[in-house]
Amino acid sequence: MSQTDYLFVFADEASAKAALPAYWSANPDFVWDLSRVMSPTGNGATAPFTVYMGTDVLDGYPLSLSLTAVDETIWSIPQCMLEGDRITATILRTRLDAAQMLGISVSPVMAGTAYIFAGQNISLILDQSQHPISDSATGILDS
Amino acid sequence: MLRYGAGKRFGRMGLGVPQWVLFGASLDMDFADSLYYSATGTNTVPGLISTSRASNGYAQNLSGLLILFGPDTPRITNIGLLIEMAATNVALWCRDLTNAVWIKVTMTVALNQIGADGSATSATLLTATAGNATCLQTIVLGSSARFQTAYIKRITGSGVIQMTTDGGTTWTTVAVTASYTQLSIPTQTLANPIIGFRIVTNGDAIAVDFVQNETGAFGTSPILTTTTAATRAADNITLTATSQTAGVTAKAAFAQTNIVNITSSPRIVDFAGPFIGPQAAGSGPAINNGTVNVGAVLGSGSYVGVVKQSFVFDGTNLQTVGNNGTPGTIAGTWAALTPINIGNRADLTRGLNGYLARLTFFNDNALRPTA
Repeated sequence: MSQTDYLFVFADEASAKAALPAYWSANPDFVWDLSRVMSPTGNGATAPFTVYMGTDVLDGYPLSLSLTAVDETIWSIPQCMLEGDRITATILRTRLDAAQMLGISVSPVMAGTAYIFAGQNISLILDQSQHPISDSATGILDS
Repeated sequence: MLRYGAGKRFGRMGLGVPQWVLFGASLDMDFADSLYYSATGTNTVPGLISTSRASNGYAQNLSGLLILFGPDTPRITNIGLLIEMAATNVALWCRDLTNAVWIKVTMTVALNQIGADGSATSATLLTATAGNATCLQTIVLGSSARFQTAYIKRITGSGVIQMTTDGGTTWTTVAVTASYTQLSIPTQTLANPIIGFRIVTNGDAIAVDFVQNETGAFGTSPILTTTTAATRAADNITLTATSQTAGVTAKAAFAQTNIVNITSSPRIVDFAGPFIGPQAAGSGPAINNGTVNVGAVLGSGSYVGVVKQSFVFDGTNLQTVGNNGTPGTIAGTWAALTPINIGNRADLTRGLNGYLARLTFFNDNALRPTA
């Protein structure tokens, strides 16, 4: 079965909830879908999801969503920074620029992943000739 | 192998219903024995349950061997279906203690041991070259309750083996045997834990695998790490449309669980509010219709371990019994509710944290034997 991982950087939790209404519930209390999402708030025994640029913690509300297939609707969300295929450990699409790609890493990773979300230098596995990099869409990464 | 007395004595015959199926069952899922029956004719795991879990996950079998399951795959072994909440392991290089994040003092290390999952050269051999040899990893982390576990087996010697969460301020002796066992030490609340091992006697050696440091008061199944902390996503197990049909018309249920740790009101089945599952304290089974709750004291044993339990929700009465104890009964309405989640609540914050060996729904209102 395929696994596609998406990395988002939203401005805040409200923006994330508005963009991904199918992946959280509010009954009885707000919580992300813990079978598919890692968020900065964590939950119980999960560590807060954090994105680093170099050694700096990135501002905003980072979030990881893992799906069973590529989802064009999800990718079309402007705050979606990366789309990766877990099985082949490759970046399918990105909105980060080359410098950002060299510095980005995340923690924790979803168990079983072995590529960009494992803190590796993702430039080593990104084939930029096949997957052109566009400018950052949110501006959060530019600040 | 776990066996089910009720199943053997009350199995039905004829009319195309397999003999192992509990009498009157509309849906019988014997995960531990890989036997599945639905009155609708569906008898496969994918036909009866859906699984969402974006990460890999391990489960143990009765031999103690860890088995790796890929994403969105139900973790079914001959113990049952493992259902857990999400958790993060912050101990890096949890199988390879030769990595530089592990600081060794008078200790040699080699990645040359068969692991707890049976894989060759996947676990680490620690050998003391002097008394009180140590192997420690410092983790940068805010203050929180930390629970420390590791799979350990003895290779050489018989001396004391210890674990720590606080850099050796506290050393706790663990009972190491010749077979891999997931050993733990008591929870400590602290920032920047320093985790690891001490071999007290020079020349003694142990094999270590799946070192795990996670939030909370108990350990969970292994979460593989290398360079970065890793999260095991929650198991989201739901009945398919086919099997929900059985749940909607059910008036009773039987379950056998093998829970590892009791958390707050874990679920066996959650009906989008009403639920059946252990009492919060874990003393026995409970049934809750969203308004009233009735529980029962187990006839034997404790809820951490193997428990057979039966429930009745016939519309006017709620009943439950566990391990042949005294049934608890209370008047209470029960609508024809669709069971939503197995082993958790829909928001995935009430995980069973253990194995569901068997789950059966019935269309009659008999309280099944739990001896």
